[in-house]
Amino acid sequence: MKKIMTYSFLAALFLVVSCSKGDSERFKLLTGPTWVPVSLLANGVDATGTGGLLAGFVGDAKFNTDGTGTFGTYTGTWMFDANEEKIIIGSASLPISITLNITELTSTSLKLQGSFPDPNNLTGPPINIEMTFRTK
Amino acid sequence: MMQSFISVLLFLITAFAANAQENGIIRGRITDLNSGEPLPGVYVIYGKNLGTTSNEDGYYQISPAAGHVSVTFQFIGYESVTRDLSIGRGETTELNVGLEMKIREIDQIVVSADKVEKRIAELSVSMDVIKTSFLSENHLTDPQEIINKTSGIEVLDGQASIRGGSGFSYGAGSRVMALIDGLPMLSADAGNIKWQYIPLENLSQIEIIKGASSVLYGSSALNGIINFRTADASNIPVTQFFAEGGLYGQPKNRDWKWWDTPRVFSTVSFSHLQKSGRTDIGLGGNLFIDESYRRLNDEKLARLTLKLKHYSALTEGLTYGISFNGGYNRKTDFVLWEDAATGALKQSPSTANKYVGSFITVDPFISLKKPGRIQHDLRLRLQSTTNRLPESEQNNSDAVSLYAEYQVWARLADFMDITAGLSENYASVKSKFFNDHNSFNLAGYSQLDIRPADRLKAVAGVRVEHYSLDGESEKLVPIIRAGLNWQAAEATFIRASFGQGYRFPSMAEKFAATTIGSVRIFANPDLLSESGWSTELGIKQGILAGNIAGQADMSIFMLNNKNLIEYIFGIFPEGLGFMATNVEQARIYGLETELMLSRQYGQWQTTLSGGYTFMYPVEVNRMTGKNTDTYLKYRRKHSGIISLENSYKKFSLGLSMYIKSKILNIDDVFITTPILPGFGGYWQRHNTGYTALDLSCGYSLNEKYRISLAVKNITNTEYMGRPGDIQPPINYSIRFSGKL
Repeated sequence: MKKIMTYSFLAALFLVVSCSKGDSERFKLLTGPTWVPVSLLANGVDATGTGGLLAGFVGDAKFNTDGTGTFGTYTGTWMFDANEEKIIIGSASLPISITLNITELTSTSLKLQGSFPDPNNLTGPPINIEMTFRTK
Repeated sequence: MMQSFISVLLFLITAFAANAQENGIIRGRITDLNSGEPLPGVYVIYGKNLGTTSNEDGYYQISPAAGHVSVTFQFIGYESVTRDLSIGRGETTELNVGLEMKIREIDQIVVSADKVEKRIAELSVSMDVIKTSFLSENHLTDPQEIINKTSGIEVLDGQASIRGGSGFSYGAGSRVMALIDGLPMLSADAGNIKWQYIPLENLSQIEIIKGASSVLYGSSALNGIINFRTADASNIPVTQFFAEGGLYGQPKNRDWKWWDTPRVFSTVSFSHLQKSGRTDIGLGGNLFIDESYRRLNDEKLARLTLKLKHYSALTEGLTYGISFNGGYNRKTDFVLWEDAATGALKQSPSTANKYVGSFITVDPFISLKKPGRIQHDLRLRLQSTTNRLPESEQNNSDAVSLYAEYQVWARLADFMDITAGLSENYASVKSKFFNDHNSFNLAGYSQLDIRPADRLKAVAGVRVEHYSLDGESEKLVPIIRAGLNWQAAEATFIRASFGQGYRFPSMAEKFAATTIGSVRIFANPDLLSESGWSTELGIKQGILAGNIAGQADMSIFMLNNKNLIEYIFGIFPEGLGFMATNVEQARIYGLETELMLSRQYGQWQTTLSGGYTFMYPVEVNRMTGKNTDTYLKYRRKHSGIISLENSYKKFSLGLSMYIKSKILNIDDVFITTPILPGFGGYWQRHNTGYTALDLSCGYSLNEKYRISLAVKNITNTEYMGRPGDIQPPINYSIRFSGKL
């Protein structure tokens, strides 16, 4: 009985010390290139004009490996969610963080989808946004 | 010559007889209160230079003058006892006394740190012990308030944070495991501590481990544990009770006062412990009514506990029994204030929700102990919680869990013990709020206690836990702990420890989706477990100088946690609102000191205790692993407590001071949005830290009954817990208590 308990203890200890983790493939895909916007759409319509909902996102997007980044005119931080299927962007220039679904991430293309509250009707239905990027 | 001698002898006999006529006789036996063994050599004092000592069988006899007499029994290592009584001339009164062993602070026996009984000085981790006398002397009836008044711990709206390990998570999840008699009591749905159902009326002590404790206690013990240990019966039956009533004073900001008639609160409580044959019986109950100093925040609470423990006559060392704990609660939780100017103590009707809840635990247990060789323990807890919100039934939930744990302790060799166990926890939740879910945990743990040298003790433990939710398994969680304790001198103990911890997300954090007022909450089924580690180096010094005894403790510590779950207010694909997110990487460096000194001089006893905690809590860049310059939310750098208790004969007087520096960082949502009207400006002006004072005094009417008064927040300091949670203004309570 005592031996069994001792061996169990040692086996479990071995299990504990044999774990490691590295950067994921999606992390490398996202942080490798500089991204340029192909289209920034709000409810299917271009929203990059003066005063447009996504005008601030016009410009290069770079997701740095240290969690910082530039997203058009915004600078701030980014992070994946647990499954690396969403990206959370925070910036001092944004009143609150934005979480977007990553609908496509390849070595050449990045597509983000999410929703924005309608500035003219905060309690109304949100505006659907779609942001498509390609590598620079 | 002979005639003179006889004359003198006759005179002495006559004088003695006359004196005996004018005096009375008190005699009896002095025993150890717990063992019943006689105590020889006890000082029995009934006046200046008047007294005797008990003989080898514990018997004594004194002959004080008739009338009122106060007899004090003093013995090294035991609490002094004073009895007041009246005796008539020539009358003989029998007075038997049981003395309770006084335990040096560093010799206190605790069980929570290693799941076996150990001296507190010999642990490798930091532990605080709260005695029940602290609760009664300070009129503490809310476990949150008790824990909040402990050095290095803060409770923000139900969320316990040990050494800054937690912030404020809107009532979901807990990084501190709460236990009753070593068994977990977190709710299966929200994973939070149901403070109101903790049976304070029948406690022996509260043990708090500061640091990751998941190896022995599993998920949620990421930052430590709080173990509420219930009392066992002693040889002498004891019944205790109290009735308390109180009222809230005016808030410092008179514009906040919204009531015309005083807001009052009241509590009645009782407990009874006795042995009946080979069975220990413990029974307790509590009723609590609070009108609250805040509008739409009233509460009614009832608790009942029963504990039966039987010592087998057939098998030596075999004990078994069952405990029952039940509670019923009606209240309106305070969520958001109306506005900072005049409505800080008025809940916004949009968030006011009536709540009706119940909590039941049934704990059968069996233990077989062969002292010094082996001990087997099998313990179960069947726990049921119901949450009813009559005005928003979509948020109702029912949760049932069955926790079972088998543990064996064995002495492998003179220098080595092992503690190993298997535990499972099955939980089922039915709710429209969370939807229906079930989870299953299975864990194995093992720990070696090694004594490689006379004054050196080491501990090493490992745990592997499997968790599945709705049939989907998560990967195995393997973690370790290790610690050392070296007795450097007679009363000097140096300790070092390292421990890992983790926490599975609660069902509420993963699945809760609702709207409270104008606030939307989104589910996040993809949440990951939190994990981390803590380490510390500490020294404990026992103090004994003349009639001063106590201890000093100092430690430096570090916590490192990742994937901490926080509710973030932001723009999500689902819309604008809150969502639990694995967002925070935390690192906390700190230093903690604690001191307790007790001085006894005759019937005057003074106890000075206190603690100071410094923390540097920062967010860590999850990519680089380096500290950022952003402070963690809802943490403070400095906190301190100092308490002075005095007792003289029948009187007692206590003063406690609580000092906390400002909160370093909070969620932007409270400042940049109108969720809490007027909060931004209020926060800028008032987030400066605070000092609060509590005063208590008491008078023992006789051996059994006592009356006491407590004035909390005597300076009427205006301070806040989490945003919008203004703490009580000055409040007064009077208590009548008895011990029969």
